[in-house]
Formats: sequence, C-alpha cells, structure tokens
Amino acid sequence: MKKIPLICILSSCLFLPSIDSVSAAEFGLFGDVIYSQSDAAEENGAFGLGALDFYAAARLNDNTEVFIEYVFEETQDGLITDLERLWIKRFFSDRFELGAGRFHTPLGTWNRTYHHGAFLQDTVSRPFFLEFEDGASAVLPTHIVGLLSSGTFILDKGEFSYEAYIANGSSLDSSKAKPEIEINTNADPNQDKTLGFRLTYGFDELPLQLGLMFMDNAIAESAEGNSGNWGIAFGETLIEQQITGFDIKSETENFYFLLEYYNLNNDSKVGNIEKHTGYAYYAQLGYKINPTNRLIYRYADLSVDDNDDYFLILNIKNQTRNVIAYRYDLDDSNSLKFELNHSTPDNGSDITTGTLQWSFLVP
Amino acid sequence: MFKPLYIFLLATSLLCTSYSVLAKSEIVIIANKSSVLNKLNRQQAKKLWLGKIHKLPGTGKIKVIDQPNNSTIKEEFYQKLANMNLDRLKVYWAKIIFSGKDLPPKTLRNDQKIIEFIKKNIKYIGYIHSDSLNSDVKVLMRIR
Repeated sequence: MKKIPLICILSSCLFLPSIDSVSAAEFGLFGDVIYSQSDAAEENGAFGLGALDFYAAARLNDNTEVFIEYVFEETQDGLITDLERLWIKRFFSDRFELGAGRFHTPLGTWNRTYHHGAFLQDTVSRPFFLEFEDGASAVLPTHIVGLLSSGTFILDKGEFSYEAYIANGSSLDSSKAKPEIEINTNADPNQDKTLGFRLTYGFDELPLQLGLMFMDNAIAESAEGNSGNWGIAFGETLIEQQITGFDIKSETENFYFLLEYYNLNNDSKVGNIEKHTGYAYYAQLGYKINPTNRLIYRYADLSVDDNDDYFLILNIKNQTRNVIAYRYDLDDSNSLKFELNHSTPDNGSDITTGTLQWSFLVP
Repeated sequence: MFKPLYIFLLATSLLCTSYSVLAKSEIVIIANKSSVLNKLNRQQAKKLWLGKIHKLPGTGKIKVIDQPNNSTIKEEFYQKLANMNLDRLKVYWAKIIFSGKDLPPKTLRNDQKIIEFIKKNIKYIGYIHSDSLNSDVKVLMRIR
C-alpha cells in the first residue's frame, strides 16, 4: 500500500524534469442541436441533431503538422461517419509549405475559414451554393484530396499568400435522380486531375483582404457500365468545368463584410454539347452589437443556364436567398443562433425556414 | 521508519513541480541577442502570442514560445497581456486549430529551456520570470 504514493512522488521527481518540449496533440469537438420549422407544404417543425465533429491536431516536429477531422451525423438512413479532413503538412519555408491529404478546397473565405463545426460561423447555414457536397444545393466541390502547397510573402504594406493544388477529379453518377458531387477520396475515375489556386492579399493598414481563385475540373461519369443518363462509360468526361472567382473580406471593430463571387463555366461533353456560363455569389454583413451579440444579413444568388447539364444532373435551379440571423454567445464555448432563411427559386414557391440552433465547442 | 523519507520526497516533489509559483517580481519578454527586434509594445506582444500577426515592421517572421499549460506564469502572462484566462485561451486556440490555419505556440518546460532555445534560434521570442534572466538573451518588454 505504501509503495504507491512513494512511486508517485518518485516519478514526479524523476519524470517531469526530463521533458523539455511539452507540445502535445490538441483534441476537441463541435456539436449542435437545432429546432427548425418551414412553411413548405407537408413539413413539420422538428428538433434535430447537427453533426458531431471530432478533431485532432499535432505538431510532430518543428516542421511537420498533422490534422484529422471526423464527423458523425445521424440521418434518416442511419449513422453516417465522414473523414472530412486529414492532412500532413511540412514547412520548408515561410514561402513554401506542402501538404498531402483531404482539405477544404481553397475557393474563397468561407470554405477556408468555416468548416463543419457550426459554432464557428455566425449563421446557422452556409451560403447555399457552398453547402458541402451532400447538401441539397451543393454546387461546388468543397473538398479536395491531393497535394496542397501554400506560402506567404511578407511585403512592405501587407501579406501576399498563395494556395495551389492538384487533386483527384470529381465525378457525378448521372443515373441518380439527385447525385452528390463525388470528390473521390481513394480513387479517381480517370486520369484528369483537378488543378487550382487561390491568391490573397491582406493590407497592413486597412481591415481588408482580397482574394482571387481558379479551378479547372474535369467531371467524370461515375455510373457503373453505361447505366448513366448519357450512356457513356464510367470515367468518361461529362463536363469540363472552370471556376474563376474573387472574394473580399473586411472587418472592423463593429462590422464585418464578406463577399464571394464565382463565375462557372461548364463545357458539356454530353447532352447539350456546348459551353454554358453562370454565376454564384453571396454578400454577408455582420454587426457586432457588443462582444456577445451579433446581427447578420446575407444575400446569395445562383444564376445559371437552364440547359447547363451540370446543373441539370445536380437538379439545382436558379434561386436567391435572404438570410437574417442573430447570434448570442452564452459564453466562449457555446452560442444560440436564430436564423430566418427565405428562399426564392426561379420556378417554384418561396420557402421561409426558421431555425434555432444551440452550438458548442469542447476544446 | 519511512516517515522522514516521505517528508523529504514530498518536499522535493513540491519543489520540483511548483517552483514556478514562488514569488517572481515580473514577467519579461526576451529575444535572441542578435535579433533585429529591440522592443515590443503590449499590443504587438498580444497579437504575436494570439497568432494574429507573425511579423512586425522591419522584421521577418517571428515565432513565439509559450510556457506550459496551467503554469502560473502562463496564466499571469495572458491575463495581463490579453485579459484572457487559460480556459478562454483554450477555446480561442481551438477555433484557430480547427480552421487549419495555425497551431498554438511551441511550449517549453521552463524559463531555462526557453532561454537556451532562444539563444540558438534567432526567430523566436519567449517570456520568462525576470529572476531567470541572464546575459544570453535581451529583454524586449517588461510586463508588470
């Protein structure tokens, strides 16, 4: 019996002085609970569980970091688990880092700032066209699997940063009524890789950051055999897609402003064989009433060609959305949000959805 | 028979693990003697340790070193510099870690290790008790 405290005391004397660096893995989780009610026909108000999001990050040594994020979601079809992000990254210099794994695509501010943890963003919802690939109105590949290089150049009046990537190409199963954008975590239906970059410049003297992005993405058919709607083989290209865009972020003591604009060029290789262009953008203004209360307004718009096969396959129509939200931080690690989301599709009835969300972070 | 031994080991253990709580006059931010940095103000120090900036006018990238979690010097440092307790600091860093942008500063075990490290690494700055200062490093700022 007496040996146990003796061992404890001895070990505390002997072990502690032997550790120099005490950096360790950082773990945390995000979660949320919602109540949502809409005026759509046959929809009842209901409570719901948001995603339960676990993450871990560690500095393996002075030059190498790893990050893992796993999301658990309870859906009508049962429990879904997704490895949302996983990467290992090595720092060669301030101007060049290289990472490999699964990342959030460097599209714009939102996708690189806000991730699956709902607690981080001020609104309940993401801009609708930036929903994750399994979302009802997802339009863009918000994840990539491949190599991502990045770096920062410190200039006289600001910081210039770049992110450039090569990743598995995305695909669609056109045999499905409502297919998801597939980002192909462990395989690629063909040889075409997705290439892209994002450049940002942040001003030292102004609360302003500007960004430019480009993505080239050959979207392949992933229906087995020739079972897709266009009868082409698995792996053949459905659409050659180029996305260009810019984003603006500005934040002062009381306000912040986000704007992202994307130009979508879809060159159909099947069906309506022609080039189609469209655009998507959102603008969000936040007002910080005080450190714990915020009011937010967001306008988002998607406008594309009715004959664009990419959107025909995704079954997504033109629409605008107005979002008004209020966020109240109960403390540093949990918040209440209320959001009114008014959707106006080009053909169809307007829908207004009210959502109350209680979200948290366990660091 | 074992009582004196227990008392001795207990006292040694307490000294080993909690010497940092002994009265220290102030906290000083230190840099390598060859660093181009000669002084810091409170706002600059706050932004550097919270990962909001990684450089200052006329400098290259600056890296900061932290003291161990739950050490009294760390608690005092962030309270005085950023009006943050360690729980709030943990939440603050969790948000940044999750964004994938950064990780919390490298942590070294005590003042002596921080001095030794900064002596060999010109890009790093750290904070220690003023009592631990020696001529291997220079002082950029005193936090009272």
